[in-house]
Amino acid sequence: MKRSPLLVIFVTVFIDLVGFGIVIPVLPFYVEGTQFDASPRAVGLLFASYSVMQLVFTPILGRLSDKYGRRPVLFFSLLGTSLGFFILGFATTLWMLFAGRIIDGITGGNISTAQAYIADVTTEENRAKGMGLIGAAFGLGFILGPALGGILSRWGAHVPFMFAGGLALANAVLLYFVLPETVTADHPARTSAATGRWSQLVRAFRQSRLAFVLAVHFLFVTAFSVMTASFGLFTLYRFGFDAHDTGWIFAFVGVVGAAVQGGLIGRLVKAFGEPPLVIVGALLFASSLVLIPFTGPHTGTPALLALGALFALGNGLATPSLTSLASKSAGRASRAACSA
Amino acid sequence: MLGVTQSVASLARVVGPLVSAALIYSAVATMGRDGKPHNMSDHSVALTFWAAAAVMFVAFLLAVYFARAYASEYRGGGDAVPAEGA
Repeated sequence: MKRSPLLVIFVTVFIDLVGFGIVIPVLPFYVEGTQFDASPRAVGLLFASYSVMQLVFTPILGRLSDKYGRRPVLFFSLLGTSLGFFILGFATTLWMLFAGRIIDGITGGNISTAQAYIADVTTEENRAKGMGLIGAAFGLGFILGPALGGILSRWGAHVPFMFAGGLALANAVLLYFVLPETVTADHPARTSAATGRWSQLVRAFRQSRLAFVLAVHFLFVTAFSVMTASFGLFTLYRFGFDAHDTGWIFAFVGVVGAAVQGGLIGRLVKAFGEPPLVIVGALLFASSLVLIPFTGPHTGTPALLALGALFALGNGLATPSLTSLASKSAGRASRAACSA
Repeated sequence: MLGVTQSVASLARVVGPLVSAALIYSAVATMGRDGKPHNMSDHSVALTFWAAAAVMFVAFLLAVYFARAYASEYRGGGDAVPAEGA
């Protein structure tokens, strides 16, 4: 397993997630509290516009990377991310904000290409370790991103976006000079995970056990996304917080989640198995969502932090357990198919 | 498998913000704690979070059903796969 290309891939995914995390606490204040003076509906639509584009373009980028190579796709996707952030930072109208998010979403589906690159440069034995790097980059980026967004917003609501744009640009330059291509005539690439993902999804939903796990996963991420799109608006409205305060709350939630996933989950899975952890996680997650609207200046910030910790604990217990369950359910189905 | 779970998560990341956009908006602006009017209300904010809680409750019920049906096969099931975050 070559180290330096993997490091560049790690940095690429990390910067993607820092960029994603930076947006979460800052965007609601940027859109609703500055010159744009848009409604809370626009905040949700801006979050969704990024995700729709990512959903549509991830398989396309995956296919392009299988055909033309990982390097150009990763390079241009980073340039696109950078451009998207700069448009957000320099935006003077609401449609420019949408343009920035849409461009970032179109080119933001590079994680599947990053995974395909890791599959290209690793062997069967060390692939899990390589893919684990992506998980680590995700976790770290998601903790640092919101905190960074909050801190940088002190110098202006547009500053975090300019910073994220500069970071993506620097990573594109690094990638251009350091990352070797893996898709060559004598070394055909493995097909990226994104290729044929919809047919894979339909096949997965035909297996009842796996369909159950995927349905629970879908509901978890949906609830999580409602929370991330609404939380900044909630703290602005109910507590009068700015992006700085909200960024720190998200960072706190990220640290608690990382502690659960890093130090606790392995032992708990060994002791109880995954299904009970998903149940407890869902219950803690749902409880925090029920109670958050009851917090306000009368309960103080500690109550909000306590519910944030409950939310992180629930998510930290359930999400890795669900990923593990999905993997095992798929494995069992394959074995059953083989033995039939 | 990674591609399939990512597809499910991508779809959910579209649905979540759309639910938030639909529910948190209030046609009547009310004064926020920051001293400015916002197109939100206590009712719309609570509705948004409780809708997410309801979604989670459905996930909880499905997880209970799954556990009752298959738990013995997964008990003490080894290490969890590291999550990529929701």
